[in-house]
Amino acid sequence: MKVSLEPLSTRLFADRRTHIIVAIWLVLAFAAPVWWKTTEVYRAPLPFERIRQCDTPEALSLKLEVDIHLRLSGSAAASLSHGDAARVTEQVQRGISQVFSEAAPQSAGSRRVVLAFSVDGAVDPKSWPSDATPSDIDASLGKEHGRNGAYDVFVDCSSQTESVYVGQNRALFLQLPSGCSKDLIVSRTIATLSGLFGSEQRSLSKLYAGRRSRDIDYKSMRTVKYAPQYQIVLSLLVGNPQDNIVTWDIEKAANAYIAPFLESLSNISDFTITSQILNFAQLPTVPDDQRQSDGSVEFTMRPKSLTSFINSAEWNLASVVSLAPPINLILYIPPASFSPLVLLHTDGSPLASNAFLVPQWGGIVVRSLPKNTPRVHYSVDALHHIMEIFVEQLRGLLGVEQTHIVNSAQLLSGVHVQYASSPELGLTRWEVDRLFRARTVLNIVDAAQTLTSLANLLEQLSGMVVPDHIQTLVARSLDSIEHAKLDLEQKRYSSATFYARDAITSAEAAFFDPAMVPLLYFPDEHKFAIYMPYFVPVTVPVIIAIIREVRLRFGGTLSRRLSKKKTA
Amino acid sequence: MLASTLLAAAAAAAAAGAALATPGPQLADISALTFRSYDPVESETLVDGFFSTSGHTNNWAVCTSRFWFNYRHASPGGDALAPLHVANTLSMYRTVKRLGIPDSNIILMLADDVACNSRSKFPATVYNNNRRLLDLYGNNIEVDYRGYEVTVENFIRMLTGRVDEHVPRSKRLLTDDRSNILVFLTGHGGEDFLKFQDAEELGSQDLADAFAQMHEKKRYNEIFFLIDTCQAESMYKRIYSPNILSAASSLTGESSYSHHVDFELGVSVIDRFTYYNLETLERVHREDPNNLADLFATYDYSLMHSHVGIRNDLFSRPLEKAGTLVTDFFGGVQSVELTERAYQLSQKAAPKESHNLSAIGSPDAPRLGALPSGSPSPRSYNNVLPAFKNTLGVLLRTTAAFGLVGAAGFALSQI
Repeated sequence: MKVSLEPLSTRLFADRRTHIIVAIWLVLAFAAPVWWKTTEVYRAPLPFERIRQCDTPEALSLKLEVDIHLRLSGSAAASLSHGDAARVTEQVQRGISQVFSEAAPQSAGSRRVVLAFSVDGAVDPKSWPSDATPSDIDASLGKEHGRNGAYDVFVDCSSQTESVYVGQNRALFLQLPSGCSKDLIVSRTIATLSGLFGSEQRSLSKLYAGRRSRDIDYKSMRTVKYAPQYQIVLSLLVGNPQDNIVTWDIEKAANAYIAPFLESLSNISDFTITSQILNFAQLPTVPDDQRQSDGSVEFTMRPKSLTSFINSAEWNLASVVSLAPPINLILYIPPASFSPLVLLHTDGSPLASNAFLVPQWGGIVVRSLPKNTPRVHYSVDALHHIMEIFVEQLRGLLGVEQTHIVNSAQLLSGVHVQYASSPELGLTRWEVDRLFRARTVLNIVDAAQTLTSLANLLEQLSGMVVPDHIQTLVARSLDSIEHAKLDLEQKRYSSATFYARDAITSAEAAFFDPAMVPLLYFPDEHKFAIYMPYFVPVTVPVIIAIIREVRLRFGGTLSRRLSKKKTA
Repeated sequence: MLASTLLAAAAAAAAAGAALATPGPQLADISALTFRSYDPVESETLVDGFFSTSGHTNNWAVCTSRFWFNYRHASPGGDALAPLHVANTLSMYRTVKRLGIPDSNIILMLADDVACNSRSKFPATVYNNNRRLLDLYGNNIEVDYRGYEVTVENFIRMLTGRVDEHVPRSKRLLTDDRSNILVFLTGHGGEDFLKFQDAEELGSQDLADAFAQMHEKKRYNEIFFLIDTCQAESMYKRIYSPNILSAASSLTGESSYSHHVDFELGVSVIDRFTYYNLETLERVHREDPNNLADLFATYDYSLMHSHVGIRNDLFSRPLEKAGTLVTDFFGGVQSVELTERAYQLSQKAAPKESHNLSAIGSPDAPRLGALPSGSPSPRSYNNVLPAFKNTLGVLLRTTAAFGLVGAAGFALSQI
């Protein structure tokens, strides 16, 4: 069949060509925004400005407010003249504020945490009954006395000598000689409070300064890294069960001694206790032996050889059950061939407790058994002294600071200073409060820094997908930071601790989310490299075509217009 | 001496009627005594024990080698060299274990197919020496990532800590800001990359970014990065985070060579760089006083046939004269602190019921809802999937758009 094509006129041909080129360009023009929108990676919007604002020095300069209530007893009020009581309060307030205003360096652009005090006082004759000792009054106050950030100072002027007693239930007792003057009360109170809170202020200032220098800071080396959960692993390691088979009543002992201690810290972290007995636990190093004067042999180890005491290859101390970081507390019974095993100081003197601590890891107590004791059972009473050592080691590992007055010999010369300990719990309320305050501040700062690192990472990688749950976590963390700071301002320390813990947990969950791996997202250069081999050969003729069309259509008129201008 | 001058000053000031009358120090002196003077109680000299000089408290090692003994793609050099890299890694693993780093602190990544390979004449063994003196694949090794799990993604996830919640503790790098980490990589490499499993590459920029992420989150005190591949220097060139010391078996443009061949097995068994490192490290014991400068001084071009590259501009401590000990990175020397006294506790009878430790807070603190544990939805393997959550809407819009364009084109053609 013969197919005849209609001859196209040049004009029709040119129009058709124009239509085709315009159609192609229209498709490109409509399709390009559609393609752009549909190939966008889903990024949940994050509040970057709020995150940046959280990390500024002004935002992280915190003020911890402490209320001091002065309670002047009857004998103190008697020695003061009328109207002096109010003046005592006022002078103490001024003095303390002045002392602490010089505490932290005030340079612009630096973050600082300062303690601020507000003092109020009253004459309360019933607060200190005559013939009552400070420890009695302290005990009568009870454990729930006061709250974190509110402390009582009891002043009495009826004793022979001056003494200061730091109680365990948020109370301070000053005993001054009879006939004390207003100035004596004021100066002793200021000196005591400065010394007591001074060490806290010092460690808070150091905390913000960071660990820049290379000198060893024992406390930060010893304290385990903060985690919202810990597991305490109590292990009984028996060197050779053929010499002694050892058992212990650990559940009852742990519930009696360690559980109450950990419960009081439950606001900061959750603790679980597990225990185990391991047999045939050999030491990786051989202790030195010393022949004693009575013919027996004693085995010794000094700190240098204690560094390889823990036989990590063979002692199975890691737990597979829980992901929480472990704190190991070990009771080691050496085999009869190395008994008695005595630990020495570096200078050779024996160590009374026969126990040592491995920083950031745990503590070890060594107890040698007498010969010919094939079966040994440690009852709760027998474990009492070992539990005391464990509690002391736990205090060090969890960062509990011993209460003391800085330079008491010089600040309070001639004054007898005594500190209460807490035989019931292992922690006084002063120590718990101080730990909570420090931990709250640290958590707020760490949360702000984590969020800033996350924001930096996301801004750097514009192609990274940000799922919705990251946005939820970041928002929750920011809200918790602000709530915690508000609580700190309003002196609600327990609530602040709680929110600070929530802030750091959310921030870390967001930062360490499995979706945040930069490796999975292509940088822009890769995208160009992929698209270009396809689209460049296609777009080149299309661009050339449209340029030609424009020149054909309007080029003639353009040159005519130009020549018209020239001639005109 | 300080006290007496203060008291004298106080007396003088009192006479002059200063702010605080006698007795006791003045406000300015109180301030000085509290904040700026030496406090004997907090003095560090009361602490007896043994402490590492670099300030680190734990050591970690990451040993990786990846070479897939893949018969289907039997590349000429492929089969012959596979046991070599595994032997390198296992030798280093054995060294750090011997010097005290526990298994819980070692992450070993091996393409673990060599020991039980049907081509191996000595099954279930890996030797690094043709005299076959020591079986590295003994009965006390713990391989954390093996076979298919050895990928670039898992390596980066492990380094940066962004692992899935189901990954067990032994596969995580649980370091903190007081950990010294030894990272040992070996395998086939080229300029700016290291080969993983015949299918992937680890780029030097990715590695540098991973170290930077670790620095941001304070996941290390110091890192010693040891790499034994061809053109190894290119892998550490891009690192930009502080406190990282690097040593590479060859410079950019140079190859690293294997040491010797075991003719019964038919393969080379160890690389030169690792071999000479091990010769020195075998003589190191747990309390060795030698430093890293001594180790680096043993490297010899005539023996290794390649120049060793060292990068210490990011490392703050000096390498010589007791600056940085070999055991700071290779050993697991722990600090100890003697416990001087016990805390006095009152004798307690065993309680009737045990305390419930979980979920207890102080009475006045509010309890927030439980924190979402990780991601609520199962991990999506295609990370672009969330972009298409509104798939139906997108499809409709796209169809409409093209429909419109098509209609426009049709209308135009009818003109």
